[in-house]
Amino acid sequence: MIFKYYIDVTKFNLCFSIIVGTISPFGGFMTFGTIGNLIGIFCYNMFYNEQYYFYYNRGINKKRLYSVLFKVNSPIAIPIALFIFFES
Amino acid sequence: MTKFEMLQVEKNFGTKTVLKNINFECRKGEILGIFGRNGCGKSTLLKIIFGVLQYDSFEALLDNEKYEPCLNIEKQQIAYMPQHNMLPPNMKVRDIVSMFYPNPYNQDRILYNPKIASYDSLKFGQLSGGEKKYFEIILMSQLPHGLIIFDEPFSMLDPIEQEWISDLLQKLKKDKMIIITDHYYRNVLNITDQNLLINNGMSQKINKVEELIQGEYIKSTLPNTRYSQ
Repeated sequence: MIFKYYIDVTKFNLCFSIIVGTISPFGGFMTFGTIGNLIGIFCYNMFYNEQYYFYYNRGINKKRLYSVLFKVNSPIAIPIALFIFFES
Repeated sequence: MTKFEMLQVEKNFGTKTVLKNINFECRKGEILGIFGRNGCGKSTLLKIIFGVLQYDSFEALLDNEKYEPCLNIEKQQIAYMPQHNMLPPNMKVRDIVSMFYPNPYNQDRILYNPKIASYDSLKFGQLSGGEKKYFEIILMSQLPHGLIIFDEPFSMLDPIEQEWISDLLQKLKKDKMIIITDHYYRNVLNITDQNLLINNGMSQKINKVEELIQGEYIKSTLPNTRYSQ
């Protein structure tokens, strides 16, 4: 169930990160692992705010939803960003 | 869970006090109706109880034990169905059921409902307003929570769809406590066991429809309700 939230938010994150990535690949990956999550959450709150109750009623609070984004995206994207940074 | 007692709640938005003296009691097998003009704080109260809105002071008991709204979502004590649809519109009805309830027993209880079965292959966004509300209530009915709050379940539905929802809520109250708020007061009065009017941040128990007139919620007496003379 949390996976659905992850996909919905990450779509927004990915769009923003790809735009940044066209300017700088390092920046794109760094964004995806950090501020992109916040932008994704902001966009989700703008467009799908009522859908939080879908998760709340199953016992999943915002803290748990947000933590999944950072637990999945950051450990993948930040090491890649650092690798690109030190290789270039 | 068999009893919820709201002892007091206070909520201010800046210098404006929205809620200051609200108290009521709801028991298993009962539907409590909450009335009030727009902006009187009904939804604010319900969101505070559910635990998604901050309050200035709050005191409530659930089965005679202190109830903490901030722990509600994790403990799954009180469920809340918002006024607007909370389900993803791009998912099929049957996929929503299997995502919401991994347990096949709960899935069967929903998907074998004749109304739901007739549109379970459609996406949620393709359903009519009444079908959406009906499905959401059926989905909520299987939750373990002892108290379910419905915010405007009759809103924007045609008369037949309103009857579906009324029947459903009356069946649901056998196992749960229910709090409902809606401006379609005829529908609400016909299914509730007790009623409350919020006016100037305070609650007033409603025993007769005339009290809704005195409280300036409606202008005249209504025919065809249990509360009319």
